[in-house]
Order: sequence, then C-alpha cells, then structure tokens
Amino acid sequence: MNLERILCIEDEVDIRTVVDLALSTVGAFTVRLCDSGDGAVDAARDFRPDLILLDVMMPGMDGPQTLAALKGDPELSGIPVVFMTAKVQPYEVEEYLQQGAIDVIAKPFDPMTLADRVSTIWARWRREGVE
Amino acid sequence: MGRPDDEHQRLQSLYATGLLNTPSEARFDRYTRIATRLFDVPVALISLVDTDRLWFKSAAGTTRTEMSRRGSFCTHAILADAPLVVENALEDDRFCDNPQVRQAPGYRFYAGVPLHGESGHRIGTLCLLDDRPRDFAEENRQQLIELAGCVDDELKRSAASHFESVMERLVLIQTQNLDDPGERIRQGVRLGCEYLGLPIGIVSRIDGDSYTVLTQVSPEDALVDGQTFSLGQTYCSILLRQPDVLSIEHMGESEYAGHPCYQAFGLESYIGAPLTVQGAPYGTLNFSSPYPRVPGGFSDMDRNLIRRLASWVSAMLDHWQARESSLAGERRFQHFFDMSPIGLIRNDYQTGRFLDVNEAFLRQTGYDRQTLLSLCNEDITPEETYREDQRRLATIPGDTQFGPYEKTFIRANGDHYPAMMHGVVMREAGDREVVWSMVEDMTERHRLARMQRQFVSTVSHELRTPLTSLNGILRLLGAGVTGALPDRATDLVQRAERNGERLAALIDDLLDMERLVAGRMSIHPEVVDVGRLVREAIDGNRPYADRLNVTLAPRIEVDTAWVRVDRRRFDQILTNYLSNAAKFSGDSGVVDIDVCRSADGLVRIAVADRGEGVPAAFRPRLFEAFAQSDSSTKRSLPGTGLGLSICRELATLMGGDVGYEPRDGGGSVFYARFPEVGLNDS
Repeated sequence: MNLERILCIEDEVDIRTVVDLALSTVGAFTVRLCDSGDGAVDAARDFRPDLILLDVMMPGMDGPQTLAALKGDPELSGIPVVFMTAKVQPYEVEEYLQQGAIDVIAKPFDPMTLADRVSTIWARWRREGVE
Repeated sequence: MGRPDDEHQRLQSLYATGLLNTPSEARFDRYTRIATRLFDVPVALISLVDTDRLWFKSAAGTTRTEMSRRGSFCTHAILADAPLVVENALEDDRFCDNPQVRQAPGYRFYAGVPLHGESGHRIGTLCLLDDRPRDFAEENRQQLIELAGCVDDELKRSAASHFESVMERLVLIQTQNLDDPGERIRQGVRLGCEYLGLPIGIVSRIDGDSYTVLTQVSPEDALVDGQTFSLGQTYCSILLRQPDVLSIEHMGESEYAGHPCYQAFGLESYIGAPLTVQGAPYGTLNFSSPYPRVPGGFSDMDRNLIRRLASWVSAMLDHWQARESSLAGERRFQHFFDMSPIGLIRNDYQTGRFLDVNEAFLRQTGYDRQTLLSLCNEDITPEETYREDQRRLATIPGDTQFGPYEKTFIRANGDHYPAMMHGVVMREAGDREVVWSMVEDMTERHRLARMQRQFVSTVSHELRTPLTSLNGILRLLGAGVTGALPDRATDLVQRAERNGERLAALIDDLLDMERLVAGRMSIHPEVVDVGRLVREAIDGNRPYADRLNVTLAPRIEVDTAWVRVDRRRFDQILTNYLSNAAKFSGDSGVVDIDVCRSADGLVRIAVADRGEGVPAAFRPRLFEAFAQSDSSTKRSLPGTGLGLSICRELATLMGGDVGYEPRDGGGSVFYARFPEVGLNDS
C-alpha cells in the first residue's frame, strides 16, 4: 500500500496553503485540508486519508483532543496521525507520542522536503506495523 | 584629748583584723579570764579602739560590749607602747572627771598594754579595771605585757584568719545568684576595700591610653562606673610597667611624687594588680587612699590578697565575657532563626516530634506554634513520603548532613506542598538525638518553573507559526513551485528566505540556550556508531549544501567507533558545524569531514572549510555565548552567536568537548570529541 491521500488539519490558513503546495504540488499526493479539530472526524470519514497531519494548537478541539476523537472512532482509529507543531520541547514530543501520534514534524518545516519527510515516516510506520 | 597621729592607718589595721562586731571567741576569752585571776581584778578587757567607741572583743567581769571612746583610759593607752597604769583615777587629772570614774561603775584602777594590728599600729589594749585603787608593781606590769603579747599573737592569727575569711566570702559572692555580673565584681571590690582599709577600689578596663572605670567603690560616689581617664593620669600607668603587684605606701615620699595622679588627686597609698581576661591583658584592680599607709605599709598578706582578688576578678570577667559572648551568640542565632525566610525545624530523631519551629515554617504549614509543637513529622507528612523520610534518616549517622531532597508536607488546611530539605542529625546535651532541618517551600518555585515552561512553549509557538508560513511560502516561491519568477524577484525572494531561516535558527538557539541555562536540556544518551551518525548528519545537510553549491566530503577513517551520545544533540552539533562550513566555503567549495581516533581514547569529528578562517584574537571567545567576531572582519559569524556556545554545552553534557583550529593553507577546522566506549557500555 502506498501513501496517497493525506488529510491536513490546521487552523492557520497560510500554513494550510504551504502544506497543500508542499504535498500536492511538490509531493504529488492527494491532499484534503481541514481548518479545525471540530471538523476533523467528519473530514476523515469523508476523505478516508492514508495519513493525517494534525496541528496541536487550535481553537475549539486542539490537536490532542482531535487525536483522541479520531482514535475513538473505530473506522478511523487505524489511520496514522503525525503532529505538526511548533511546540517541540522534549517533554511535549514525548506527550504526543504517548497520546498515539506516530511522529512529530516541527514547525517551521521545509516545504520542499515535507513530502519526503512524510513518506519516510509513513514507510517506517508501515515497516514497524508489519513487524 | 587628741587622737594618735596614725589614727587613720591604725583604724585600717584594726579593720584588717576583721574582728569588730564579731561574736566572742574562746581563744580571746581565756586571756581575759586568766587576767582577772592573775591580777585579782574584777574586770579584764580586750578593748579595740574604733573611731568613736571602745569595742570589747572579750570582756571578763562585765556584760558591756562597748563604751564611748571619749576620755577613756584605752584612748590614752594606745598613744604609746608602754603600759598605761592609773592606780587611783581620782588622783589623776586626766581621768578624774571620766564618767566611768565619777559614776557607776566608779573605776579607780586601770592598767592597759597596747595591742597591735598586723601592720604594727596600736589598735586597742589588754586592760585591767578595778573599782578600788591598787598598787601595780613592776612585776605585774611585765606579766601584763607578756599576756598582751599572747593576745597580739592571737590578733595576728586573726589577720590570717581574716584573709581566709575574705577568700571564703569571695567564694560565697561567686555562688550568689546575681543577674548582674558587674554587681558580683563590685562586692568583691568592696570586700578588698574593707580588708585593706582603703576607701577607693576600682576595676579598670585599659585600652591603649584609655582607662575606663568598669566597677568601683568610692566614698560619696566620688567615682562613677564608666568614667574614663587617660591612662597616664592614673597610677596604673606605673603598675602596667611592673610584672606583678604594685604597692606604694606613701606616694608623696616616693619617687612617684611628681606623677600626674598624685598631683591631681593626692592619693597617698596605692596597691594594684593587673587583670588578664581570656589570656590577654585587660586592665587593673587597684585600691587607694588619700592617706599614707605608714608606718606598717602594705604587708605580704595585703599583696597576696590583691593578687588573689585580681585573679578572682579576672575569672569573673572571663566568665562575664564568655557569658556575654555566649548570650550574644544565642541572640544572633535566635534572630536568624526567627527571621529566616526558610523554614527551620528541630525534631526529635526517635519520635519525630517537633521541638522547635520558626515563623517561616509556621507560615508554610499554616499551623500555630502550640499545635505544631504537639505534632510529629509523621502527622504532617503524607504516608508515602514519610516512609521515604524514615528510610533516609535511618541511613544517616550522627553529625551528618543530609539533603537536599524534595519531600511533601501537609498544610493545616490539608493541602500538600513540595519542600526542599537540607539538614543535619545532631546529638545534643543530655544525649538526645535531634534532626535540624531547613525547609524551603518550593510551591512558588514550581509555579515559576511551570510558568517559564509555559512561556517558552507559547513564545515558541507564537513565533514559529507565522515563520512557518513565511519561510514556507518563500521557499516554495524561490523553488519555482508556483511558476518561474523573474531573476530580480528570485534574488529578492532568496534573500528573504535566508533571513527567514536565520530568524528560525535564532528562535531555536534562544530556546536551546534557555534550556541549557535553566538546566532543563534533556539528554538521552545511547551507544551508537559515530560513523553512522556523521553520515546521517551529512545526508541531512546535503540539500542545504547543494543549494550553496558546496560539496560535503566525508573521510571516515574508523570502521566502527562507538560513542555514547544523544543522537539528536549530536546531529545538532554536526549540523551547526556543517552549515557554517558550507556557508563560508563559497560557491564550488568543499567541506571535509574527518572522523578519526585520537591517541587519548577519543573519537574526533572535524569539519574543515577553506573559508576566511577565524581571526586569532577572536578564537579564545569563539565558543562563548553571544560571541561575535568584529563585524569589520570578513569572517563575521551570522546568527545569534549562540550556535557554537550551544555546541560546546551539548558536547559537555554528553561527556565530550569541542574546539577550533586554523586549517593549514587557510580556512577553519571545527571539531568535537567524544570518548570511545564499548558496544555494550550502557
């Protein structure tokens, strides 16, 4: 199974734009953008992504709450979630991984290498999942 | 009738016997009894001639104990050493009008021989009285003189015994429960005045040329405590030139007649001894009088007394000072104890009961003192923490410090709070073991740490979020993702992009430095192959180098070398070196990366460029925080000036070090070294 469909949940419109260009134009993935955690579950059910990029700090449902909602949905719980956040102090990263994220991408990120980075994370997750 | 010329000294001598107003004693009474039988007279007396009275130390044949001195036989008898014999008073003009003659008991006969004090002055008589006139043959006179000689001997023994009684009284004074140690010393001085028969007694404190009256006894308060003189104005200036006691009987006749003290105060007799307190000269104990002490002068016993009295005063002062010093120490400790912003507590080692607590600890816990002193450590410690306390204390031998460690206490309102503990287990007097602890309430510090972490996290997010958009957009534009830009626009976008990256690096560096300074930089070391880590770092930095058209050329000499480092932090160091080297290599430059073993068991990773190099003057500060080379030099380091400093701190945290050396042929070599470890070292 290849990584094709990526859902990005991010409240900052400018960052959504950068992610969209980085993944769809540079990386040639199919990308769906969602502007809040509140709409994440519906968007995921509708879009059926292979991987979800999830912001941490958002109004309404924040990243961890959204992750919990996704994990709490039997249809969505198996989708790997990668946090994308500027809050990457070691203890914070540890918390994200404990919450169930498979990796963390620090902001600011290089949009020209984001697609490669996401692919690498996906491949590792698949490998580890198989193992 | 006139008084003897030596009246004053005579009285001093009398007082020195210490006999006046004392109870009758058999050792004197037997002489008066013998005298009445031997001379067949109704009355025999040992009569001491005081200022205005005759006082009878022993009286046989009369119950009187004293009578007026005026016109008395004894007053005449002490004018000369020869016996005074009045065979019929009625026929003697000197005594015919004496009330004792004219009225009852109507004495007619008197025979008296002078008695002497220790100094030789005539202080009284052994005398015989009869109400009938009598003949008194020469033989009787000789017998009376001999008997008086026996009484003289007894009087001398009295003086010695008086000396001993002074010593005994000193001991009594010493054991008196007096709050004021100065009063105790004053009583000792008064005793000295009485013994020596000198009206002025002083304990002085001498400091340089300053003579201060510490305690004194003087008639009509001629002196006051605290009064000061110049040392030169006092006889003590002479005394301090002596090794021991100084006594001058008649100043006006001595070599010191020209002394300023004599000129100013006319003190004729003086005896003094130096005082030593806590092993150092302190001052003097001295006694003086406006009268000369002649003819007897000061006896050896007098000098011995002042020596012993000075020793006693020194001991009193010693004790006084030690007490003051101890009290001052206790007061100081009490002040610190009360004022300390940190909680201070004393617990019984065995029971944990609170024995003493300061205000700061009461504030922390919210208890009042009375309640807390009825509780034990266990009562205000959560069970789990208490078990840890017990384990910790059980392993501490006496007089050993413990801590710092953090524990939890329970406040009076039931809240728990964290506290940092330092302390010591001590054995107190009475063999009780106690635990002294300093208890710092960490609530506020924890809150601040949380706030600081929150602040860093928030700042980090708030700065990085717009930077993510900004840098991302510039990077996409510059890469032509949205279509080719005109050359001029490409140049400008790339400039903006570089500055955006610089801003991102600045934020990273500041946050890293904040963590390093706060000691919160977490390191997760693991044993890894250094060659592999270097290759990964080169791979990670290659896109950046490619953009600058710089080649990264690794030369890894070691097959496998294990080091114990945090992968992420190791990569951070290498990335800093590689990106700097790429930046300064210029277009088509080559950055050489060497990994080799050095002789001292270290693995050395060196990154070398062919840039401008670092000016020699700047090299010593290269790895200091905020170090920036002079901007006038070509090799000014971009960024915050924190990158290399962070590298050094990280390397140190991982047991390694960093360094710089100029490269042969121009350029720079930055290196990091880490100890090589075995694969299985954990």
